[in-house]
Amino acid sequence: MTDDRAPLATLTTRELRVDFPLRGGAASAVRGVSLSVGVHECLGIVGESGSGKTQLFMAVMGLLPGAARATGSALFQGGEILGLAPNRLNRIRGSKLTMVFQDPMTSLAPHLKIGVQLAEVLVHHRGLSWRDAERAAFKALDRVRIPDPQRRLKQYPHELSGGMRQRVMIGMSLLCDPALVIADEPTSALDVTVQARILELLRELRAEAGMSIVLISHDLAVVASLADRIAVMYAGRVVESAPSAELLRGPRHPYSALLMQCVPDLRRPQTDRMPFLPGQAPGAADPERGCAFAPRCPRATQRCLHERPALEEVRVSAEVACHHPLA
Amino acid sequence: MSSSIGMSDALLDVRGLGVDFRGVRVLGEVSLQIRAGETLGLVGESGSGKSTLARAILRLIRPSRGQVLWRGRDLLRCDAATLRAQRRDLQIVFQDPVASLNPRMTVGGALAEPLCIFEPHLVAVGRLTRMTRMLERVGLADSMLSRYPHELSGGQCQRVAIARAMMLHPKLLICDEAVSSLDVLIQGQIVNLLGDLQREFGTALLFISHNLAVVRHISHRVAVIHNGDLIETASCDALFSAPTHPYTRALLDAVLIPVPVPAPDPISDLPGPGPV
Repeated sequence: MTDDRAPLATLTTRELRVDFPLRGGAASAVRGVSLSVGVHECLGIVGESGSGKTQLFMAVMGLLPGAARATGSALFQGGEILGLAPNRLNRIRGSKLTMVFQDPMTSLAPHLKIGVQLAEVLVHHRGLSWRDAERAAFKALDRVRIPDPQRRLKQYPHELSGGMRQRVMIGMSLLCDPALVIADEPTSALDVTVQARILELLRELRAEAGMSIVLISHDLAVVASLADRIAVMYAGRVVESAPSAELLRGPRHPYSALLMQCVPDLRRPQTDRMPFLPGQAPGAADPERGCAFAPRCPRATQRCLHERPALEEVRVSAEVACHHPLA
Repeated sequence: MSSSIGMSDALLDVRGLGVDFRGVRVLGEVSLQIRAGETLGLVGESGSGKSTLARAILRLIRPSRGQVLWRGRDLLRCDAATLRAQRRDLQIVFQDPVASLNPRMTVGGALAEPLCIFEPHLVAVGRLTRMTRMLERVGLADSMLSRYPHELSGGQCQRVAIARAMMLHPKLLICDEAVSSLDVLIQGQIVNLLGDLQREFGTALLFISHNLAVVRHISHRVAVIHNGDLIETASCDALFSAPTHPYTRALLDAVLIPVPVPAPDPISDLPGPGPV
């Protein structure tokens, strides 16, 4: 990538779809998502399970299962990466484009020492000698504030706590100075105290390294703690996106508002029942008619059932897809 | 009931329960009581011994010391047949709803199993009635009976796991991080469901979670566990408004504040053009 005209965004997707062929039809996990992640920006993606948030970025990473078909476009630093041949994609992912998964135990190889797994990345992507790579691995652990890195390098994943393993994963994702780190529920498997420390670490590393981050979570509180901008996904589409502070202060889409009310909050007075959203999101195999959220929406009208609202700009860099947005 | 001192109303009376793994002390000497129909919340970080305690109570692992008095009888010292008979009243729901269901068994099969074991006299029609009634109770359609776990969402699997645990109307239900792997939107539903089932069947709950907001919501009393020891047990209100132990305070401080201004409006108050 030449730098004479710097790209506006690190990642831009256009009408990205993910379809799984089924007997007599198809299931659509992602139904046309256009979004962009700016340089140094942290974009939060919020949605319940099945909303397509993970599949969207699995498509970007070229990690969809064999049967799935990704269509549309995904530009990474200006170059198309959707449908790129694996050997060309492998030059990018793991180095410039990395991903941190929810479960650090299953993303680390159980039979290899931490040091080997970290060094391997640099040997492969940077052509470093093992000796140099291991020195860099030491630095990587130090960077993610793991105490006594020398000892940790010689340990196996099972000897580390969950929080420690997630630190290793984050350290690994940063080895080759990535332009974009996609973190998919990085703290969902961790305790509150550990979660707070991992988010703090991500915040610090972002200030130090200046990479872009996509932070995917079903937990609005997690996303809100780090993201500059939040995109809310529902049934395979983005229904609202706005700068974090704006979205949290005044969500426009009823779904975003309901999502916020369902986040347990210790400051709120105790109620008899926990707030929840009745009904179920439509499945990937369900045909789309009108607004996907209409059957669960307290503001829905006849129109919502028949006419799908387009994602429209309501303010600068704030978009919402709703016929009856909140004021 | 023999020598329970002042705790004769306790359904479960755990005394000095401890677990060592290969000489490593995982659980110190934990004592707690749960009364019939009550919810005791148990909070603590991973590795603190929450799940070990749950498993030790059910004798899924062998404790190294202490007593588990279940309605006055020590579960750790009774024979296999007695233990088995008591287990119908002691059920557990685990964190991972998909992994806790047998992938080769339909929902119907999973729900029928406890009935086949503990109520073998029940005829097929009676069994089916009980199963569909419980499914309905947890908010699932009876068409679910022929489905396999992989066809269901995480929330649906957890409902099935709860339905199975509740099939025999147990006196104590242990929920080991039962809502932790679910979305926030579904967490509330499952927590409300557990509360409803508790009221309906008078089931006591041992609700283990690291999610403090959820624990506060469902619990009457809360116990805090740290490094294998109970460090504080208090009524829910007292613990959240005036925690005495520094660790409890640290735990409360670590809770993320999601929204700049709390939005207390109940969902029904959302203004709108009205339902369809």
